[in-house]
Amino acid sequence: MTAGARRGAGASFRRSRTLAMAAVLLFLLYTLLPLWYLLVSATKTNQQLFSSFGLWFGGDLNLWENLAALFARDDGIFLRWMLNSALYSVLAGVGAAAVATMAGYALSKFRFRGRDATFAVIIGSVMVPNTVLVIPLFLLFAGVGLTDTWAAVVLPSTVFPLGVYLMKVYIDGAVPDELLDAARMDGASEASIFLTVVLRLASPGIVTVLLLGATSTWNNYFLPLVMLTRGEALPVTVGLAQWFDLASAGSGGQALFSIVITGALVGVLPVVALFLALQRFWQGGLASGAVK
Amino acid sequence: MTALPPAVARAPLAGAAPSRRGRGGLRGRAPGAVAPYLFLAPFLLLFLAFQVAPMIYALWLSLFRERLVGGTVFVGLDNYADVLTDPSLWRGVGNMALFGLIQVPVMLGIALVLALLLDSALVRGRAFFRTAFYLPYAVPSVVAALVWGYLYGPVFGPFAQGAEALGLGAPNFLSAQWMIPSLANIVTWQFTGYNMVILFAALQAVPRDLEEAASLDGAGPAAFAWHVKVPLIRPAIILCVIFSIIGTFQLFNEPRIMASIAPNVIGDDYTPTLYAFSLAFTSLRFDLAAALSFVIGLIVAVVSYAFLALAARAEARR
Amino acid sequence: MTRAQLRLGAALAVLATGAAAQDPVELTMWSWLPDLQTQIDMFEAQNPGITVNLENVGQGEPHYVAMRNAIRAGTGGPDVVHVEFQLQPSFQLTGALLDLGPLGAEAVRGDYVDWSMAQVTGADGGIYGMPWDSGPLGIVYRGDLFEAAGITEPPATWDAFAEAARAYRAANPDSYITTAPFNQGGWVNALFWQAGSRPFEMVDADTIRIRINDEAAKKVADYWSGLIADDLVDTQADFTTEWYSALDQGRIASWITAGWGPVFLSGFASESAGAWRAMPVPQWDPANPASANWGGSTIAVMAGTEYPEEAAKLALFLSNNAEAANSFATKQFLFPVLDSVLGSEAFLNATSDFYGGTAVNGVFADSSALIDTSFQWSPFQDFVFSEMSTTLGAAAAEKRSLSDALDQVQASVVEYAESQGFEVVQ
Repeated sequence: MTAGARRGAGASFRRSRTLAMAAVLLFLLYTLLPLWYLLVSATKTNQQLFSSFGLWFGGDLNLWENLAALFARDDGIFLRWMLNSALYSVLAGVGAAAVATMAGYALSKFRFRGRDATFAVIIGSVMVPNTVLVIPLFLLFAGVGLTDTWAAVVLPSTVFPLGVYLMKVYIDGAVPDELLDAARMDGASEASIFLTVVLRLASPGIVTVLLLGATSTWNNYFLPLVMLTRGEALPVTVGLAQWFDLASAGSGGQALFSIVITGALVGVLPVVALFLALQRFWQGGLASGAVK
Repeated sequence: MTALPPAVARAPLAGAAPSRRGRGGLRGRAPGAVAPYLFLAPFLLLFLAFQVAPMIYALWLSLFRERLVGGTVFVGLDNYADVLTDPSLWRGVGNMALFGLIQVPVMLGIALVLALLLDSALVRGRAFFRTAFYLPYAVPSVVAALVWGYLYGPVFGPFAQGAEALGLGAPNFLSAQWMIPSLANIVTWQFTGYNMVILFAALQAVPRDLEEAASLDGAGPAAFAWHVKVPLIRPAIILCVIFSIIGTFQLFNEPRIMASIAPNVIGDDYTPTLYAFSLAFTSLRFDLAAALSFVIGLIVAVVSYAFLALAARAEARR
Repeated sequence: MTRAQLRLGAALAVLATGAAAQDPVELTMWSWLPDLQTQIDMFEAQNPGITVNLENVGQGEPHYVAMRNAIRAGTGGPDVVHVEFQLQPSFQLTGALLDLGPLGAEAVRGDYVDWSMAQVTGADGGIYGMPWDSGPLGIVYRGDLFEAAGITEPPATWDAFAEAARAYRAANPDSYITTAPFNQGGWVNALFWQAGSRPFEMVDADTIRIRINDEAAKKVADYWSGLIADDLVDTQADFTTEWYSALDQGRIASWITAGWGPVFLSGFASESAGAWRAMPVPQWDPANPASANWGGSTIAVMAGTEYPEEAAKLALFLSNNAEAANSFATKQFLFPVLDSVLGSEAFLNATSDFYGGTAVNGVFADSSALIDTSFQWSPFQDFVFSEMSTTLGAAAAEKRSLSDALDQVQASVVEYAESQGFEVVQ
């Protein structure tokens, strides 16, 4: 810091810092408010939900009772919904990552006819909003009688053009050509090169795409809403929304509100936990890889 | 909305960068000619089956009409004419335009300010804040809408309760006048942190020595931020805007959840996607729903490319 | 016995037991009626080979959306399904429902009130749903609040009701006598019906007369526009948490409802239980009293079901079994369409603590007798209700002219009908 800057540095810097921290803390409050509300509400009985102040606890904690009621309702369908969400997310995530890695590898390390065209199509399709595809997908699946199955939700979710782009960029930076050439000179087959060299070096990118695909599927509402009608096939998003609608309309019985809010808390936990545990993949890894 | 990690902010979206790698080309045994196609095949097959085929099938269906009386008839482009002259569609588009004009600048403005603050030396504990702000993105939008729906409650919501306790009146967040801002708030809550992380990552690429040079010249940090940093992360900002536009026109989950608690405000045509859904499953006009899906896709593409063109032209003029 | 005979005997025995030990049948039923499990349990107790998986996939519109989704997809639907009377024509037209006539319905045709059977009978004479309950109009109100506001007589005419609204609002600046939920297609339709409106008439199979904005309907629209403009009634939507609590806590003092209404209220109204009473819906012309139906349901079987006989059994049980019918009438306050229950003293005199010990069924029974059941539904009623809900609901919320909004609905329904291939006369 130069002398000139240092002169006013003390007071004005402190003032700026205070303002900045205040702004950031304010936004933190805003960010955490609904999550706090969710946590607090899940500890309340239905009665307390409507009688106590929303942002603080109301007397004794009923979290365990709420959880018990949540998992007991409708013969334990909520657990089924959670398992469905997990199944669809894992399948879609793994599928999307596998497919995107292979395609990204092809685009990154090979020259072939149609490469640029393919690339352009992939970039263009990123612009297509997913919701636009849902009703046409439904009509297509209905035409062949495959709605209301896990495939109806998982297969469309494995198409992840952005994932292909990300893997291409990541493999560009993470997999040196020399390594590939050396392996080829040693007589390794393309398949084994891919499986041993590329997968290992690109693994942070692969995990990122897997996480992105999995969370996107876990959080998806519109596609499963349209594709699935049987209660046992629903993911948590659709099931919870259904209960919420019933709670408001009153035909689900009075106790439903506390169950819905507890269900919302439980439905949020896996993704949030996963995200917190694997932060570096969200923020760090891919960024450094692409700077090159 | 599928995610967009920081990397994309840096790599230009248009065009690959084949020249960046492998000076001297590939040495040794050339890879088999068939190999790239094999690796590409799974993606292409899935892409054709689940993105291209549905659109073609929908296009086909949209040229016909299944009537309650008289069976299915070929109607050519009549369905498109009907959709484009349907006031419900334009009402939905109008709602979304209004929504977008409020929500996108506010959200990106906040995201930008936060990114700049975190990037500066002013804030301690950046990693913590980055994580915390990103958290809402992990919450399913259904849950976010549900929770905010409770918060907005005119009788039981904490804001209303608090306002009453203080003797003030709280606006009815679920009324017709407030619905768009209320929805905008939910989406802002969900995505500000996510956009901030993208912009923050882009800011990391701004060379530090530029900052030092500027302070030597007497430029204050705020001026520096506005005049130097922000223009340098332009591509990232543009990307965020485009994805926000795409997200705006897709809006379905949040209004649908709100419809449970404010059914007289959120009609079946509140957003274009809600309207497509109702056309399919309430009016039983699958053909119209198919046509509408195309039209929405087209509108989004037009708006996105228009924005991109504007931004490119502004860039070229500088 | 020879060894051959023994072996044959053993084989036959195995066959016999194999035939008797059938796999239990599992039916899926979709309905939103609260506490339906009670009557389902009754059915299962009497039919040990059948288990019923009861699902509530939504109340009203979301339920029908799910049905249409399953019908279009050809899979994922229930066996037995709750279908309101107004939607029978549209589901019948698309062939989605099973003819229950040969499965036992024909035999009990005469057990039901005539009009209810008429509405489930298709043009081909098939019976496409078992009548379950009807929805004669009535008003449930907070007796204590009305008295406190000086309303001692139930308003006999709509003009008197407007006066009562004024008096109530003057005495209670923080609450309303009632809310007018114009987002609720069935409610609005019932009020139009009561005033004499006849929006639809099938001239023949392909021709339909549409007059949604006829004089009677406009009269009703203008009436409510006036009350809304003068801030004498609320316009908040019904069947939301806020609405339930408004009723319970006295911010809304009455509910213009149908016979099936109170069961929903009693689930929520814990604070005000005991203070509720019932009164007849006001009349336009006391010399010619009329009433209408809001809702009322049938139990239908989906055409694609794997178990038509068992599904028909369930539908017939729930709609025709005496024990079940009585249970529905007393537990869920369903207004019966079975002649046997309608006429019974027990039903008419049944009292309820929720209504402070008064017998309310009589109010709805009297109302039921005044319904002109020649009212016809359109074959695309959910589209009509959706249009009404969106257009009229918005107009009411924004205090615009409901009459003009009605013209809009008329225009858009005519356009829809024509696009569906109908010949439209106005």
